[in-house]
Amino acid sequence: MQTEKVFPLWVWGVYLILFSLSIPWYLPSRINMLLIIGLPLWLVACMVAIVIMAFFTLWIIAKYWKDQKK
Amino acid sequence: MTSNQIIILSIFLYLVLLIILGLIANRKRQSNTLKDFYLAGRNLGSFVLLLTLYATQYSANTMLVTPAEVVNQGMGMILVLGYMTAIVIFYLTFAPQLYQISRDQNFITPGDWFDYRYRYPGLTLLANLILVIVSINFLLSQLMAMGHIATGITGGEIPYWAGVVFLALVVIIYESLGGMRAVAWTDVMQGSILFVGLGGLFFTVMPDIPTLTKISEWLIVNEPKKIGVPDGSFRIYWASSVLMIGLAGAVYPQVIQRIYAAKSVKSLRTSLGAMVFMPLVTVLILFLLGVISIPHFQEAKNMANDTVLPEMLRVWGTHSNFSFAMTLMVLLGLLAAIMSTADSVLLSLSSIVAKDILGKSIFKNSSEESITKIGKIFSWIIMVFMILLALQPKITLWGLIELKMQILVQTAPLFLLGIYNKQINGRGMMWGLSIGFVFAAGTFMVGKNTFGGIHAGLIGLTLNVLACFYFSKKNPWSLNIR
Repeated sequence: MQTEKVFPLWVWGVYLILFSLSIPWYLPSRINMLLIIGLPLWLVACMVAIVIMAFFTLWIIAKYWKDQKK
Repeated sequence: MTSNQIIILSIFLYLVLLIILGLIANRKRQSNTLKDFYLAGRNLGSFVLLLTLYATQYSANTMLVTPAEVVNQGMGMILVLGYMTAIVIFYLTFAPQLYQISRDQNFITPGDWFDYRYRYPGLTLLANLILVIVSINFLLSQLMAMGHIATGITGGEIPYWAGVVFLALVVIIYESLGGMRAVAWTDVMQGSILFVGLGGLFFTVMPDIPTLTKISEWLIVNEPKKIGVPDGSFRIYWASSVLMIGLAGAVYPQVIQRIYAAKSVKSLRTSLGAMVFMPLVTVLILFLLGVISIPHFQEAKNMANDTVLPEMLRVWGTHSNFSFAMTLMVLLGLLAAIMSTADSVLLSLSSIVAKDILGKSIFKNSSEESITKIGKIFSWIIMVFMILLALQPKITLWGLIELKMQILVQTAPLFLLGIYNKQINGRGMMWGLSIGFVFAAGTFMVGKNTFGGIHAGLIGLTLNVLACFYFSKKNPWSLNIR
């Protein structure tokens, strides 16, 4: 049975970091309510983290997930 | 023509189109095998695979709950974007390997993987029973949603019972005719309507940045809790949701079968690569629509989930003919989202019952063609039973949805641990699954869904995984006393 890793381990580390950044625990409260593009900074930071995650996913799929050769 | 009449006519035309697609799919069938009926001959290309995954994954729950909960609870509900993205990331942890093995071994159902990897009939049976419970729960909630939405969007002209009965009948008809092929093609239509409708609506009603700034400033003054950073316990709940719903959403049986049904590695790769952007063009739009709706519901407290979006669509639909057309598409998209989830759940449920449960017992020596036929008959029986349940006034939706995810997540180790860890065996997994399931179901029965913000299902999953490792050891019962 094939159990080879398709994506290297560090990829999951990056996802862990990006998901952590998508939850607003790290910004000081006084700057969290600054409005950027009409929305609070903490919300924009969350959205940006998810956007980065989406592009990162596209990249790792293209780079690491190859057709299996028999 | 009144707007209600236009909506009813549009629904009628849409349902006719679904039946036509079912008839065409029936003519396109290549054989009466399980592979052809349940997996469309394993021939789904990137575009169809993407849209069927999209339509299946995004049910009315996500679409209605997101804006409603933003109105009720505020911007912390951006967590929905997090967990819908997490689902796609979790696909990547096992889909590449599972796809290859499923091709080599001709899998039809998730049970085929369980048998192949663990060779432990009791485990396959337990896992399948859990998937059946989850699927019945899910299907019932979709049928009830069909009834509520049909009534809601036609201003009561279509009564609840008619919405349930007629929409469910349309689903079972096109599904019996064309199996996964019909389901996938109707999903393409449904996904497209939703996508175009949401996109069009967004561009029509979304305010410019100065106006959005004014709305945010209004919120800071009048509803500070709805725009402020969520507190610590909510953030824990957020992280727990991302993990639990992300994992559970990735292992729905109807998703597993779509992985099996991909035409090639390239199709699967391309569709998952595109799928990771779907939360941004669906959930994020619904979230922002919810934000701009908060002032509209200022006086109301705790809006019901199925009222916010339909009410706002009614308001936005009056702006112009174009916005009316877009709101009509979103309304149809809502209905489509429910039907597309219901058809996928029903199809995978019938495959599990026919092939994995009955096909291994009462109909053990039947041919594949007979089992396919049995599957179709069972789809009808299941649907009639579900319609009768959905028409019972006393059943409520709320608990059903919460329980479903807490239980379903217990099956995730069967895939993830099974693929990566050779030491885990059938006995260990049986213990793990049993412990996780009992914990999740037990905490639900006593009304305890979270512990300090962490979902009971996630705690159950931790116990589940620990038990898997422990009981997979050669002598788990021995005491190492020196």
